[in-house]
Amino acid sequence: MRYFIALLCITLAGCGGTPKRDDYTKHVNRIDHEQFSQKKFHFSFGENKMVELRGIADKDDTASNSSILYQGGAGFVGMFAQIGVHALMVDSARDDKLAEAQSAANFLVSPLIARTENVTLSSLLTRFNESDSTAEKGSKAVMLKPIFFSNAAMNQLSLKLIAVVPDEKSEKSRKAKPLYQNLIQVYDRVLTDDEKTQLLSAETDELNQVLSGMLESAIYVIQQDLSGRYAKPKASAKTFLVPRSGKSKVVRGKVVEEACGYKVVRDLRSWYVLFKTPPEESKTKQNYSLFCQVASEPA
Amino acid sequence: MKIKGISFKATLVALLALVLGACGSTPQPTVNLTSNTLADENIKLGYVYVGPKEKATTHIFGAGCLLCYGVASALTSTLDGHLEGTVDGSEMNNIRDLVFAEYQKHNQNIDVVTLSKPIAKLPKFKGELGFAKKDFRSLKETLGVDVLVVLQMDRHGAYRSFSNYIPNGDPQGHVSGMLYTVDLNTNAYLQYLTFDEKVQPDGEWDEPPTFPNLTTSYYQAVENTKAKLKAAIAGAAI
Repeated sequence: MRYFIALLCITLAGCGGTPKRDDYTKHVNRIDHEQFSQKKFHFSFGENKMVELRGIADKDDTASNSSILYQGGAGFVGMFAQIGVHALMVDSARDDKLAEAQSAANFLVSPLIARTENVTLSSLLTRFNESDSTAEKGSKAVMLKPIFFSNAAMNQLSLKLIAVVPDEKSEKSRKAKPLYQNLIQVYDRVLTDDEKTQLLSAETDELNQVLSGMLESAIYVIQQDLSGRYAKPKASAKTFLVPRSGKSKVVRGKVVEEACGYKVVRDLRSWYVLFKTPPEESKTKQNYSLFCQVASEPA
Repeated sequence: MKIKGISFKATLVALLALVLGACGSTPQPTVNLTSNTLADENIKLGYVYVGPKEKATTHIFGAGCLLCYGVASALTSTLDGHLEGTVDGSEMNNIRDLVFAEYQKHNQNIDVVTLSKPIAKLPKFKGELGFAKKDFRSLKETLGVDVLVVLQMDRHGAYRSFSNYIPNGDPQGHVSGMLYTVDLNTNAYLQYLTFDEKVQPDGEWDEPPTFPNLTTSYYQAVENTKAKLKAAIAGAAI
């Protein structure tokens, strides 16, 4: 009986995995910070040339209860086959639920998606330049994959940026592990009704400015991390609340940088989360990004 | 077989109908606290906090047989160990303190009271919807308060739904319980609110030994609960 339970557990642990997502990654850091001093920092968007914007979908993929009557006389193998079929049914229901939720969320923000369809990522860069080639002499290019998000009310945008430094030595092996891999999240502040109108207006450049600010702030954070400027803080993890329209989002972690009314927090997954500190809410454009600090540094 | 002229089958059907009738009673709906109910300075409020019976752990639902439950427990045992070892009762205490502070905004005349016996041991009260199912009225004299506020935390940690052997989804950060306020003169609810927060982890959950996503979703469930309770006590729409 105990072998049966053990086998069943192994089977179910394999079947009941979390569906794969392209806006999620695990943190890996095997780099030599000296190689990524600021002068040698190069990045590329690779094949992701265009802006991708999505609605924020409910990630709860829990399927509703699916009752199935197991046939007792099917024997040991038959029992596993029936449980396997049941697991596949549940997995399929979970995938469908996620896909439907994402499709519905995208529909709600379709005016914003339509406005970003022809915008290239390189056109959003004002302070950084994308490398022409993915690797330059004496330095490694960081491959970036940004995905922008909007809430259903279209009054708050956010960004998830996945950064990967591939390991050229192990690239050909089956279990290639990158030298560096992380995710940076940037949350813009909640916009007022007037600001939202400006954002949606085709006559202004407001949307591109907001996307540009978030993208460059995220690149700045990657640059700081790769160059070893974000030392691991000794303080214990705390709960930070990111203002959202509706429920606040919880970020659990430690502050690694605070500037211009923004905080950069290294969360429990070692992701970096950049958000505006609520009490210091400022609507002035010059305070928008962390570059108020970068710009003041001598070149 | 006949018992005093009534067939056994008819007796069984009648009994079953009675049992199912009791099981299918209408649940108590939410009672919103109105802003001026507690404004009278002469009213004295007592506050009781009933903490969760278990440490933070994974709460399994839907594993409908003994073997299914054993399999489900085995699947979540590493997570249980993490939650029990790292999540203490401090967040529950923060919720407790928040409710007390929010009620203080309505009426400064509120104190923490200790019950001499558990609420479950109080006598039953046969009232309609809108009245507590236990008779709290005797506490008016013993505690010397007019209104009793009860925050009961039932579960915290993680929640995972199963269809017998099969998990329906990932474990979710979870906090559940109820907040109710009873007028000790009438035993009527001045407020009744249940909360059952479940927060999906942002990404993969099965990342031992620290389970960062699930841990974050637990803290998100805590914050959602705080926001819900705060809004409910302030009299805002939930």
